[in-house]
Amino acid sequence: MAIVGEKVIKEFGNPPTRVLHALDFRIDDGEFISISGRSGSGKSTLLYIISTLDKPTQGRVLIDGRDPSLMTTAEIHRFRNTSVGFIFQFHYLLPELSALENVLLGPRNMSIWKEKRAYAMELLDTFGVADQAHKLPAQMSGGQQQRVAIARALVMNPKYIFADEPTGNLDTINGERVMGILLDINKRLKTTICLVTHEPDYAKLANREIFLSDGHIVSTADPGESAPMTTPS
Amino acid sequence: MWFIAFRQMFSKKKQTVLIFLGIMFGTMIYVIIAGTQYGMRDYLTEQLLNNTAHVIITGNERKIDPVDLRERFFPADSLVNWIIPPAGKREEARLENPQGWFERLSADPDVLAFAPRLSINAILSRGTLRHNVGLVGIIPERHVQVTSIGDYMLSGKLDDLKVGTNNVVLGSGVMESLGARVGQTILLSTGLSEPRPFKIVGVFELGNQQIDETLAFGHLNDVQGLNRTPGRVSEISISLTSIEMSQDKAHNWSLYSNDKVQGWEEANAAFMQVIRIQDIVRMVITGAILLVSAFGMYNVLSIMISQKQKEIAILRSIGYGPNKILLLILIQGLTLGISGGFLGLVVGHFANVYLDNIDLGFKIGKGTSLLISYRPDIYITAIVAALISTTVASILPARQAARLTPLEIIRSNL
Repeated sequence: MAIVGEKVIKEFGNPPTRVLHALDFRIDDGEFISISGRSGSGKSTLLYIISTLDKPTQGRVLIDGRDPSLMTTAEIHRFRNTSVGFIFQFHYLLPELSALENVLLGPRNMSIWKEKRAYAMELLDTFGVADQAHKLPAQMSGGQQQRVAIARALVMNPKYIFADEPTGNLDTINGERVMGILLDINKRLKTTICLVTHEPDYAKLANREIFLSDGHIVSTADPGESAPMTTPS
Repeated sequence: MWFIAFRQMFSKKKQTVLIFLGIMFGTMIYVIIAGTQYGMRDYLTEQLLNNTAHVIITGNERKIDPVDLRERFFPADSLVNWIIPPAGKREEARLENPQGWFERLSADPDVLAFAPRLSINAILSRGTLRHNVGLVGIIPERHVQVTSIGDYMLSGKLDDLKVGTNNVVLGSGVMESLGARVGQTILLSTGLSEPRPFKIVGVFELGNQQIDETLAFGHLNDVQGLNRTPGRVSEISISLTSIEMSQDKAHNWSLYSNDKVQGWEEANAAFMQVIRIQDIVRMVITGAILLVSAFGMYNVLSIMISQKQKEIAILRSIGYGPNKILLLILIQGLTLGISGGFLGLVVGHFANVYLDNIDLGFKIGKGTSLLISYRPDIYITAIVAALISTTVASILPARQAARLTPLEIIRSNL
């Protein structure tokens, strides 16, 4: 099973400006891929389409053989709730909830937060923020908040993690710590991870790097290889 | 959603308390204003109904008509120029066919009771003291069925007005003017007749000074005798099975004769106008207060939504659908509306109880404090108004929040 993109085109505005140009790609289960490129290259747009937050203007994306644009609203929300974890550049924790309560937001939506409580604590412990469990976001550092946000993304044991510049707002130490966590999750839990980053060092940590330039996939290869697999048409 | 909604509400304590107080004050003020207005209105209505009943049939005053005289005394088409045009009343107002009315009313299933009356002006004298009154001849056992005058007797009973006994019941103000006591005999005259002795057998006090100083009751036959108009009836007071049908009944009956038939609202049109103005004032005041609090709630919720766009985005991205976001905002608005509204009812009720016990130092009705109504529809209207205003105020921002897509928010924050 995999995420497959077929001739994915995305346009904005009127007259339309094409941001993604007929992209074909495949992300296999358990892969850790990075999507990189310069600012404005379309990497975040591609991530949002892959992750069901946005729809392509033309072409389609199949997740495990299903086209999200054909799913009902309820199916989409259930899919996001059970199969997807999002990590954004800004942690977006709810300021009036404690770290633990933030982590349990997904399970609370499914009314299984009591069952997931122990696992949520375990995740916080794994990421070194167990002592922050009952603190509000405002009482934590930026790095701690981002680790809580990662725990929130993982608590439902999602099949996919979509991370949009998760280190963009962190210092080097915290950035490396977050990358370490993502690598560990991918290795240990076999979670498929799509990471958008503009930092080459972090992009190279992935199994495979999709490099975008002006909405075209310039290369999709093992970061160790240099030969492009796809060229813009 | 309740958990998150309550956490969000309590994290903004100042805003939450302000909205809560706005709704509470709006509801409370409605309860107080409506309680005092309805209290006074119920009292005044009862006072009016004491005199007018649900429907009243009165004889039309027949006046001298110059056209009628001209046609009677001059050939047709002749031009008559009156030096002094004929004018004035031909005779006192009276019903043309009271017996016909009695039969009709007795057979009507919507008529609960009816009471014939003869109203005349009379001069009361006791020693050297004189006092003018409106003397109403009644049949006591019928009269108590169409009015609540029996509840306002200070001493004696209306039933003491027996036929042929020349007894009279006076208003407390009349008693005071004459310096008379129950059991004493006074003289009554219409001005045209010789004074006749009447025995005071009772005193009433309606609490309306104007009435208490100018009204007296005697038995219908005695008053007819005093007026030298045996069998005459000037009006019939009618009590219906439902007060709501008074206007329709009056209209239907007015088609049967030349007598004037009026429902109690028509007979007291000026009073009803005051009542309507009171209603409008009350609605405007309360509406303004609730509008201001609802507008405040709308503003606060809208600001909260714009401040919490990131949080809404994350909720949407982890599977909270538009309906749950709508619910999140609605819970907050309605919780404040319902709790503020109910507290407003309680505070308003106890404020009315307090007002009800303040001695104003002058007489209103039977007591000396404000007349307060505790009728259930005041409380129902107040809470419904609070709920409607808060629902409208919270549903608009809630829908606005539910329409937000996570992507729009994320992009706008990049």
